[in-house]
Amino acid sequence: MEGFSPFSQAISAGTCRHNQRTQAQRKIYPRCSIDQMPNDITLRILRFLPRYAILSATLVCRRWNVLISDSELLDGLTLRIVPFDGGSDPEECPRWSLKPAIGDGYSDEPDELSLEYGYYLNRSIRNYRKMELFVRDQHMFLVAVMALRKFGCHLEELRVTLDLRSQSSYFLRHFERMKELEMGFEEYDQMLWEQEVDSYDRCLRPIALPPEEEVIIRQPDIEEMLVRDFRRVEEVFLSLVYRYCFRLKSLLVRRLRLGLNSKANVFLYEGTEMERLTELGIYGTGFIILADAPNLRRLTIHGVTSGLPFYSGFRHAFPKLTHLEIVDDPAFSYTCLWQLSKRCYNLMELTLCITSGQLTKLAFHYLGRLKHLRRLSVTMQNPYDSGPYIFEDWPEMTVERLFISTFELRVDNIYEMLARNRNLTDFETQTVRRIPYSVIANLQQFRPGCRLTCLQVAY
Amino acid sequence: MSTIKLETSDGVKFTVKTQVAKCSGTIRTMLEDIGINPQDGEAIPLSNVHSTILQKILVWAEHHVDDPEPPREDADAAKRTDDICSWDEDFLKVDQRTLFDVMLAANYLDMKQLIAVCCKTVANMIKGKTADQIRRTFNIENDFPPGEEDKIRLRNQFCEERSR
Repeated sequence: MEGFSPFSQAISAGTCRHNQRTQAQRKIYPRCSIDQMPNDITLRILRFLPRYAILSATLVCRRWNVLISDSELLDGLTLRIVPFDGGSDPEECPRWSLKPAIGDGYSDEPDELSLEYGYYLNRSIRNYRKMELFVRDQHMFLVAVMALRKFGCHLEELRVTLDLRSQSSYFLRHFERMKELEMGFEEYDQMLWEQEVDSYDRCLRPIALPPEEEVIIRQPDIEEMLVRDFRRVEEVFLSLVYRYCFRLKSLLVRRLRLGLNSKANVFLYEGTEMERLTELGIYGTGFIILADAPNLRRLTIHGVTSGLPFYSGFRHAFPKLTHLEIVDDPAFSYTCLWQLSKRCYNLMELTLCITSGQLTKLAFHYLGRLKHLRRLSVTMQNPYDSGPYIFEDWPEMTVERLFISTFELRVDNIYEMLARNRNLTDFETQTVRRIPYSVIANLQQFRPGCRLTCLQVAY
Repeated sequence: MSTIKLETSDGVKFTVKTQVAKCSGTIRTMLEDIGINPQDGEAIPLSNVHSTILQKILVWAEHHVDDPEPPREDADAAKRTDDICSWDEDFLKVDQRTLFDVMLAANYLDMKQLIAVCCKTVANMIKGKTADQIRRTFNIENDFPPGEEDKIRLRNQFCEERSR
């Protein structure tokens, strides 16, 4: 059929027939809006939206809100509870916000979302997997506790920053006054609010303590703990983390402190099952649980004064721990390594940065027991350490990459070490005293397959 | 070239090229699997589709009849909404009701490409709008309890103060 276009015919027929339809019939035909779309179509539309637009969409109507809450659309969203200024200046008026941090690579997304979303999400959406907390004063403390109670059981990743530098000026002052006045937390908070309401943003209050959440601070245990010893705020907070966030896979705790002499003490929490925890980072906070985290793979400890009690607190073995980093631990000693070698026998990567502790030859002898160790990095900043002699009696190891930073090294001992460590492919040193090039060349000849880097550094 | 007949919900009969009709997964299944014989002259009833909408959809199908099968969508491409071709853009410059009717019909007829294009178009209408603007755009009733609304408004004030 040449030139036959069934299509145009169809159109003309359709149009023609359609024009004959009566007005009444047209009314019967259900004309639809977005509201009448079935759920799967609405979800398909929403899936094309970037995160920020999905957040707007949660505010549109109940149906959308429920639809999005029940879907995978907001999975992986991070809830950030941070001060507006990002927490840089503790003396500033303690304004804070609840806002989800997003960023999945789409350029049209804003860096920050307004409080509207954050607050609303807080109330309606429960599929957060990541949370970031910045705790600086008791208001934020309460909000953080509230968030933990609400989302804790779903969280897989938590980053906490405890900024207690303002203790003297703000945090401590209030807790001390609270003690003086013999008031409960809630009572004191109320009084404080009434007194300082003008200096705060008036809107802070309803956000800080949403009515249904006030029950938190009435919980006797928290209040009791706070009043008993306000210096242990961080301890209280983190014990709550372990109580509520039992699905955590990754936990990073950072504590900002002033001065060097503010000591971080170690508390060992036992009886808390953290079965899924694979990554734990502790930066300057005196708080740790290790007893019941059998699946821990990566542990980072910075600036914690530990000493032997801490490492002997490794009461259970960590068969899955492969990465360990210990930095700035003034009490670290060879006995700690002894404990480590007994309990973390599958370590593959170990980083030690010891400022003032004593590491003797014996310490490295214990490292020889770690049969899976592939990378070892040791930095000793104490001139009284046995730096020059550490390669004397250096044990046989499986290490492939070795980094040593110390004041001095004895060249003879380096030969000895190279002879004993056949797996070594990469060896780097940093010392104050320069190792002559001729010596390095000789070393290179001695072990041709190994890359040698010897740097002279100033301490 | 074979043709088949389609009958819409309001009784209008369309004569369409089989190839064009097969853009619809539903019709394709009917013809191939269930074995409805188009030569019989029997019209395939499409009880969920109105003639105005089917007409529009057929225009789209006619234009896209030779399109290759879409590649399997990878995660990155899935979120793009700026890849609507200009013909489709013009095609979907219709009032909202028609757009949603087309979507429903496309859903019924199982025309994946058309649904995707429609969804992208709607997504583009949502993007960059506040919740209130979205509600006004699509004429959605705000059915949150009044208390909730006040709280949101309070938050909004807070944000405005903050940005000042």
